[in-house]
Amino acid sequence: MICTGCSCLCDDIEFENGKILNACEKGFRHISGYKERRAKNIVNGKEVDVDTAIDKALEILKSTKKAVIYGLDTSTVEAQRIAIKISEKLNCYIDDNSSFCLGEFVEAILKKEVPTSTLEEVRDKAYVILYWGTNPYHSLPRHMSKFTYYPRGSKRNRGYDEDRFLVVIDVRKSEVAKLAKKNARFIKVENDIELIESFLKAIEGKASKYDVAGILREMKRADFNVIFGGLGLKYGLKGNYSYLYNLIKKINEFTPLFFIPAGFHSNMRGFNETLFEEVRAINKFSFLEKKSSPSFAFSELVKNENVDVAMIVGTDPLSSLPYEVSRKLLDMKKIVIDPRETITAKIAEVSICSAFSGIETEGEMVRSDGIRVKLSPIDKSEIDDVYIFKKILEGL
Amino acid sequence: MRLTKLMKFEAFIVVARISWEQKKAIIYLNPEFAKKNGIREGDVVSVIKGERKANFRVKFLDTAPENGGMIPNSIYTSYLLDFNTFKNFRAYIEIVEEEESKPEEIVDIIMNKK
Repeated sequence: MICTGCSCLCDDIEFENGKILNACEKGFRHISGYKERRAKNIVNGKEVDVDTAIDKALEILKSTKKAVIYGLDTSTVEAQRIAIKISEKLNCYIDDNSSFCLGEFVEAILKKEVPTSTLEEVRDKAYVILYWGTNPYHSLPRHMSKFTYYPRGSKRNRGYDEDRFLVVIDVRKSEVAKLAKKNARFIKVENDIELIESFLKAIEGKASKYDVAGILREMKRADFNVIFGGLGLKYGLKGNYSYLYNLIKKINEFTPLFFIPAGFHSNMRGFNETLFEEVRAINKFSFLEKKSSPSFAFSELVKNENVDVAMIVGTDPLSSLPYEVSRKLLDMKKIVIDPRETITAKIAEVSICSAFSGIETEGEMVRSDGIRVKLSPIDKSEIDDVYIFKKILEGL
Repeated sequence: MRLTKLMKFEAFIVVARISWEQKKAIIYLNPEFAKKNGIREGDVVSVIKGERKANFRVKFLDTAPENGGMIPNSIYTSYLLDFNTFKNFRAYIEIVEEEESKPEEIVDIIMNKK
């Protein structure tokens, strides 16, 4: 089966005598624990059947002109498409976690502002592998063993200590940073913009705050290098994404360097690509105004009280968004659709239990590098996101 | 009487994902930082950021930042933070004779302060 525990979407998970094989700890817990802490179908605190809960959700959605649909990053592409149709029909906002996660990086890739590649290409060809502001040890546990640093690739077949050069940039000496010993560098970064400036100075042969000339020399030795950028990089850039893209462009003038975002929900990229296909925007979109805007991010809409109904799918904003946003969630009606019981569901007017994508329902997801993957579930649930969204769309 | 119980320490705290199961409010302190400030594994510390605070049980982790600690993404960090400090922040830490915070306590605070 395909593991949907993170955006690696590992395709080699097997079952033998009741045991789950090949999964990382994160994936093992995701798969083995799918029957635990399941959501309930609830309307105003009372348990109901699923169709009653969907009817109540419909009633709430029909009663407003200021709704937002939010989340969807663990739903299949098929479900995401229907959710986009619901947003269109409601003339409302739609957004996902990428607006505060790695959406900007995915957008730059889809708009071809940065060169990108696939994890298989990285495995086969990459020499300098640079993890910037991400710790795959925890966020993508098999990233390095299955796709990047450790495997022998068709053009990198002498093993990681000879045929790879690992660079880790982080604010702390993370588990992955500790691996940076032979043929490797760890840079403890205090200011990502200054680090980019150091790279640019080193390209011109000038001295700089961070000693990065050696990394550029290693990159020049190879015909394939890659940066994996995580949330630490995103927030370190403080909105100045063009600094990073300019650096990648400059390095590409003398050696090939690709960029792949690292570390997000299993199908966040699927949401970004699906919405992009429909409206040429990856998130923060208003069907009423027919455009995307930072002010249409879920967090901004809630904080500024621009919506009065939120349909929240497969995410838990009360847990994951800052206090200034979460406290405003109380002022609006909430419809939560999730396989798992969440803190947000506990204060929602309507909670609907859905299925786990990839475990109980089939469909398609998009890996962090843009590769499309067909899910192969081990169980079957009739009530999944597609069923719920279709009912809502028909009811509207 | 531990004198360090009367003191507040400034710490650099990173917010990060962890792959193992995380149900309780735990702060992973750098062992050297903790030792220097008289904090023991198993202590409960208040992490104070501006007007907000949450209590965490202390565990040691040598991959935590040298001048502070790491807290996994959770309702506790979301409560303490804003988008400008979403991945790392500076806060004060003090040892307290209390239990670690529970999710429902944070929800209650959020609901009552609205």
